[in-house]
Amino acid sequence: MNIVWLILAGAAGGIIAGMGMGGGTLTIPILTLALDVEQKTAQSVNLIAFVVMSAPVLAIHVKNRLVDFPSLLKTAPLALAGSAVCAWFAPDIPAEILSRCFGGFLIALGVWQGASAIKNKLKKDKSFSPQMRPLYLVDCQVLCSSDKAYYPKKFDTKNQPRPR
Amino acid sequence: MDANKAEKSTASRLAFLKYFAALAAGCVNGLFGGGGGMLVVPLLTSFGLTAKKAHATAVAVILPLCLVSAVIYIVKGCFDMQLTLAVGGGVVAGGIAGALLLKKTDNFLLSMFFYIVMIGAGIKMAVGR
Repeated sequence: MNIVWLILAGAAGGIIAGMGMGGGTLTIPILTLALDVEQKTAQSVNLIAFVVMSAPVLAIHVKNRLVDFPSLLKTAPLALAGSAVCAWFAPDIPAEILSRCFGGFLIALGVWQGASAIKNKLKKDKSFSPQMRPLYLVDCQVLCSSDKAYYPKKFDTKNQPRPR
Repeated sequence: MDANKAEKSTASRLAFLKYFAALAAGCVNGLFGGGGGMLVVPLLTSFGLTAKKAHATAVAVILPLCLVSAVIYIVKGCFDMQLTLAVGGGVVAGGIAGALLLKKTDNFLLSMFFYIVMIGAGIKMAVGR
């Protein structure tokens, strides 16, 4: 077993994960298809790696107030229950069945996510194409790439006292 | 009145669907050891969160799941110390690099490439070796 290849496989998955595209979905197939790791071992490695990597990331997100706690409370308990039950049974399922199901899951996920990415892209392109004067088009694109709000901010209710 | 009732029932059905989606995401994550995040992000976006917030909250949802699942996997004996250390080190290094890269690239083509690789790997795994 070549350690360099293992580290490279992890790095490839990690880059995708850092970009927010679901790294585990790539790390597991690399490990099992290219490096002949057993399916369940690959899964446990991926789980542990995710915990180690995302703990500091989560701390930063919480600090930046990007974590929405109401929706977290809505989703986390059920997801936690589902995952605990399924993780309990997963090691008892034959590896071949597990890996075939995982393949099916990957196909479905890839088609779904790819389709929605294309849809978003088309929508974005469309909103800039209709009959605009050339100058407007440039303005819009400059605005778009500058990452600023298109419209002036509305009355800020939080920081200013309401007029009575 | 009837319209109001119908609206209410579709709303509750929708809420039920969302709870079901959360459960399904948990099951997938426990069963396959990953991929739950890909399901949780669209779910959170449907609650009205922005993409950035949805990603951050998804990490908060998935982290405890992975922790619990990882402990269960280890208890059940699916664990390889050397492998974990090597791959884990790579993942952490790659994760930092990926987070830095994300700010610089327009990643439509990259994500398309990623989804094609994903479908290809999926077909290979589903067919079997």
